[in-house]
Amino acid sequence: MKIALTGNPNSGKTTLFNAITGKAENVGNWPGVTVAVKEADLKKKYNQQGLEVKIIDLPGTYSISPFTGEEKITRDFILGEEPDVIINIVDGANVGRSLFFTTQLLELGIPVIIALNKNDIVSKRGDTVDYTALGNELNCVVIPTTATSEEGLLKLINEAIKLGNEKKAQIAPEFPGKDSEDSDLARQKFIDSIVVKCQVKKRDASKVSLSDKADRIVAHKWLGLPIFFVIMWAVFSFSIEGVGGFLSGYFNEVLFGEIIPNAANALLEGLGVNELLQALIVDGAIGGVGAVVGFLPLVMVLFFCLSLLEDCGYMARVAVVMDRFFKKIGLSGKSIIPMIVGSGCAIPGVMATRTIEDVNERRMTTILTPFVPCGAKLPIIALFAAVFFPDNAWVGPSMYIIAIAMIVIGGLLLKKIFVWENSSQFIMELPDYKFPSIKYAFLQMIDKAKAFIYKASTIILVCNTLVWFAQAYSWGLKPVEDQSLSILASLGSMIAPILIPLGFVGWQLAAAAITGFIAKENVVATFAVLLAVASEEALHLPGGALVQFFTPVTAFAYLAFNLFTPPCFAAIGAMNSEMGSKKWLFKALGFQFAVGYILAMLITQIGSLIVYGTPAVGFIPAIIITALVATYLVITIKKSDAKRAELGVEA
Amino acid sequence: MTGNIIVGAVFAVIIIFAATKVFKDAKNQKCSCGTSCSDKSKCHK
Repeated sequence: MKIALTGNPNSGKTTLFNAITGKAENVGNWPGVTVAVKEADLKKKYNQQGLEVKIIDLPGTYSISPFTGEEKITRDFILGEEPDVIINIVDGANVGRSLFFTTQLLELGIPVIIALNKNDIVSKRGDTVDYTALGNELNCVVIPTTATSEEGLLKLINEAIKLGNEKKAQIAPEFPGKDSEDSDLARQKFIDSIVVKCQVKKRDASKVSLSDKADRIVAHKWLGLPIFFVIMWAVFSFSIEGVGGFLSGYFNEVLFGEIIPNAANALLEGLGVNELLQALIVDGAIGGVGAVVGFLPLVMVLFFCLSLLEDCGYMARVAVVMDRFFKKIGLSGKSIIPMIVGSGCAIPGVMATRTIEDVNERRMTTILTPFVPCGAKLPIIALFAAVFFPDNAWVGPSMYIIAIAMIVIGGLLLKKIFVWENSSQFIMELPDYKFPSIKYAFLQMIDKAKAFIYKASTIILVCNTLVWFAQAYSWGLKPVEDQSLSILASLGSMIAPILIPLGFVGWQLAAAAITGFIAKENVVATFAVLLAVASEEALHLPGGALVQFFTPVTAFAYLAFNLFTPPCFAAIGAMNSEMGSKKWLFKALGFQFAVGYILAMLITQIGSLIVYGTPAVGFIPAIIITALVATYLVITIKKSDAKRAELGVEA
Repeated sequence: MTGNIIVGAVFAVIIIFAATKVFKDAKNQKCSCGTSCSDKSKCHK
């Protein structure tokens, strides 16, 4: 039996799906978190008869007529796959709005059962809904549920299975004007009449609640952004200075710095293993993977804090704060949702751009979303902050502020370079503030940790084994004493000249940056492998082995370069899928590379002039590149302006 | 010599297994199977 979960965005479908299947799909208190069909078996707890029941979680939609990409997925599934039963999740706190889609579903002939969700919020507000009357009006069963506490779910599933076994066609409610030209208006009038009959609202919407008062400060047009920065600073400080930082320090310095390598060396020496094989395993595999896994506690604490912020409703306010900036650059506030999702991983962030209707806004968001520092970039931030800025807690949050600045500047440039007209508006329902769920934050943290370890034990392990091999052998496949004669050195040396205007001198920096395109954590792991062989000094400590390559200014620039150039290959794959055009993909990658490159160059050259009073290496090439880029921009924008004038489109 | 062969073989198996996973994940556009990489329909199969 196939049971589909459908409903408006942010009605709690995925929370219900997770509860009845035992899965841990990503949930959020903003619309558009689910953008693809998800399927799982019904959990034993809810399947007492042991039947074969598949539960399908569909992206949220307001209407059976699709408006956005993910709404089309839902429509196509319901009409094409014909599930045995539809569970329509209706947001109990917004019954009037939700029933438009419900009445459309009831007309398809597929048995429908309504889960009147968020019953806890309804009760808290003092509102009441007459479920029996609502069911009679709509010709279907209505069950009150609270997906977060699993209240009412057993009854809901039992009723759904019963309905599925009966195989009776759904009878749709009749209302005047159903087949008229103004059928949508007639439908809404019918819904309004049902709501009047079935719902009693106690809460006076005109009264200013505590949540409204908090929003006036948190989502204030001038205070909103500084508050966001202070909160991010607090989160980073807590993660780095607190238990996360302490455990990461222990992992890096003791566990992966001494205990595991010493034990592995002793074991391999005892087995009489060849020195090169021993070095490959200890310095390459264990050293590379250990350098990344060492940051796991820090990343876990950070994601725990971010999950708390999201669950309490704060991140939804950040979307509102950003909307006013985004509107000015031609993006809708909807673009902030992929960006917030992208702070975990760029892949779902890019996929979440499907919720944006306007094709140009969607392209812009796809290009700009990877600028947000994702989980994979956190080890790079943590490493450079620990080595070059040990007493400055601003380095981590500053990357988020630079990301916002790059998104705004990037958006302005994209709008000027390409002839785009943007039109969509952003309306978002703010969830009520609530005490965040520790369980939810814990599950999210474990989930991120699992993903982190999976990556470390697959792609990072493979890459660093190859990196070790490439830095230990020459093209003639002979071991080399001097790293500069290795395969990796010759490859890095080909790329290194490109990085000179950025003040980055050394093939090692080029090699680390290249491996970073495979997976961003590789930047840290590659340095760990290269410097384990070349230097006796610890990688993660202040003034460690990295200081031979960077000044604090160029270190900050290198950090920016790795964060704001194109994302990892997997995210590029997601960009390719969402953009649906190789031409646009290459344009996007070119733009991202140019932004990261120019930003790093400006940080290095201007920063060195300000801090040290002298320009960094590559000053003259940097001036030439700046002049060339400025000329290109002026010419391109002029051409686009002319085209815009011709088409009558405003920039 | 025996130590080299055993350790080398075990390490090679681990690397081949990890590389196969990486290759399959890349081919199927599968991510690291956390909900942080959202499209979990491709995971756990």
